[in-house]
Amino acid sequence: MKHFPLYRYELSKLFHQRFAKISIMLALILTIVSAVYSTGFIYELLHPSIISDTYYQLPRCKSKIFYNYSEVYSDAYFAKVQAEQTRLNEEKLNFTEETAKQKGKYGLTKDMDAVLFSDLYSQCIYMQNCTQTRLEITQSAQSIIESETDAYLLQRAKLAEASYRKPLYLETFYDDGLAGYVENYFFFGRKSCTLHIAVLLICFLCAGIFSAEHENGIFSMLYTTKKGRSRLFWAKYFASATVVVVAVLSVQLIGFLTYAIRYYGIYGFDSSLQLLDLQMTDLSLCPFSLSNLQFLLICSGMQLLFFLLLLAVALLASVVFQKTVVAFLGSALFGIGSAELFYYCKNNAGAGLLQTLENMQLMLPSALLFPECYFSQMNTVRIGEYAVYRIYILLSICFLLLVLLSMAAYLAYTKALSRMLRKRRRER
Amino acid sequence: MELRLENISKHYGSKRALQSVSLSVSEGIYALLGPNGAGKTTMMHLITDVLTPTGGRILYNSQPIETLGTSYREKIGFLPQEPGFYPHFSGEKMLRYFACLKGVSDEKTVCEALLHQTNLWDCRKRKVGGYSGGMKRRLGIAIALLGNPEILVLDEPTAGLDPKERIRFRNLIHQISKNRIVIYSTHIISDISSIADRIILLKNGMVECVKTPDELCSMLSGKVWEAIVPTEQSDTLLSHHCVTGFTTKGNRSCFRIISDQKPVPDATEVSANLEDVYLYYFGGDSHDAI
Repeated sequence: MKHFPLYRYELSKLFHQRFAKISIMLALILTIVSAVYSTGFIYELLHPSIISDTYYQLPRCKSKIFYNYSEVYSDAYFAKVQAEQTRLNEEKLNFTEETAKQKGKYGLTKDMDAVLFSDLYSQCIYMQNCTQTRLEITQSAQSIIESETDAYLLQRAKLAEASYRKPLYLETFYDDGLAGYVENYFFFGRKSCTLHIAVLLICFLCAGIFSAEHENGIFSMLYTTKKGRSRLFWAKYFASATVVVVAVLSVQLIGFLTYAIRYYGIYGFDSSLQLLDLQMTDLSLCPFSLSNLQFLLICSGMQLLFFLLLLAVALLASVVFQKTVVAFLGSALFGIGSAELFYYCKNNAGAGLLQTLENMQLMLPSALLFPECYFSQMNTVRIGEYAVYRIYILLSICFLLLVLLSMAAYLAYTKALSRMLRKRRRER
Repeated sequence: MELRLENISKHYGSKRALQSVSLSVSEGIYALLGPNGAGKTTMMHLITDVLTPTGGRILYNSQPIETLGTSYREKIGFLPQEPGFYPHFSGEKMLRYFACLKGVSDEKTVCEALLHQTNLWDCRKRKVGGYSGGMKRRLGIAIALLGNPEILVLDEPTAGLDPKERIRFRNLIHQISKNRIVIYSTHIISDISSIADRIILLKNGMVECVKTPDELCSMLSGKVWEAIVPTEQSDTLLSHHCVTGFTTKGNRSCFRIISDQKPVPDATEVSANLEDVYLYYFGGDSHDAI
């Protein structure tokens, strides 16, 4: 900080204004209320008095599952099921109705299904068929090379087996895609208004970072100083990026503390991601070897990337329009609108424009807000001979967008481009 | 030390703010005089590199300022027409912030000296939001003086100040004008009449002339008259001549008139002042001046 005095001043300008302090406090209070409300909402939704099926109950269900795992899913039980599996295979018979009931009763995850009841597990059969016939595994009719598929299947099976021996605190349950510990990283999700709070807070704090200088008449004084262009721009940029990082991580931390820890404790983060069972996103098919903690951190990072993109939009609007209100509205529209568009396309894509939008993934930046989609299956695109995971493409495009938007804001602020063009014109 | 504007023009869409302005200034105080919309602020923004000209170029010591870049900006001190400040910063913090932006070494000592020089030492810890108009102007000039700039550009620095503050400010400008180029734009002619070395008259985006105050006044020799007439003739004189001032005593009024010919038979020729020059050049455009 001592070596970056301009950055320090810019941070101080961002945080020391009365309206900034009030808005930060308000946002934090709203976030806590929202987090507690969401928790209450889901708890109520899944309360035993409402739902009779014990499989879906929270949080009591959690301890029950753990208990079941430690008591019933012992090695002996595992061996017993495997023996039954072998016997059935030998006799070319299906599982008995009794076994199927047991499966439901004990709430097995899909990965356990894959290990214990692989012949019955439709997706696994589908994948095996794909391997045999060298067909695609993705949902969107794109093929993937065979060796990768084999490696994937092997890896998944190993992961599932390995994870099976770990506590299941982190297993999640769902109702309409929202429940369980995943709510922590899923916290910016549709039913929680924390997304909108975070977007509005960031836009509110950062939209005026350049335009306010024009509005209060200090711009020309800043602009005529030695460091008033390039260095000042980057000082402002990094100060506002700091605000974004702090705001996003605070919201996520609040979500984590009010939801995950409260219900699921602090154990089990090292269990396999493939055991994290969501209805809308089947992580059991995730091709990456990740623990829950790694998954959580990656998702948080991806959400942070979205908010940095939002910041870049806000800064560009602030530089170009020189009006705080316009910059605020523009960036808030981008932040909230793109998330809503993403959901709308996802839920309503049937045909026409919405289908096109979804297929083309035009709402790429907002996809960062819901990163679990990209972990759900072997979602690949073939580029030449190589099958490339869509998540890599998404991240590449979003990083590129971030760089482009930031550079556009920089060039607009320093007028470097127009000066260069003018110089060339004169030379000609 | 020479700042030269070569054939400078600046257009905002179809509006031409400056047209083919050529000018050369060296050490001393240059007063930029002209009615509203004459292009004074645009010229100052071009000199300070806030705006880029549509045509022409600006040279400092024979080097184009756009190629000088940072090294040119560190030689500039600029006080805009309505300087803005961060109201939650104290005066001292504001000054140190700009010292940091200007890359001033030993900023603490420099800031303290400037706070004393601009008479802001006692209120340095107060928030700028609580400063009076005069204090803000003084803080603005302190900021402009940071880094000991060779070119000081002041855009209507005394606008809105009371007479006492204006005199104090004028004296301060006079004190600090040694060994630097001071470009001072104003509507208040009395501010510049005593301190300006040269006056640049700007009209409709073009430079009318650049002369010393005495040269300008002598150009009006034989054109400024004083006439004492009965009060009932006042309306006739006001409607037919360029009247720069009048006083009334009983039923007679004393008029100061600019005219190529003697306006009334009893009129006596008097020496011109800068207000007369202003009105002579800007005529009907200059209702808001003086």
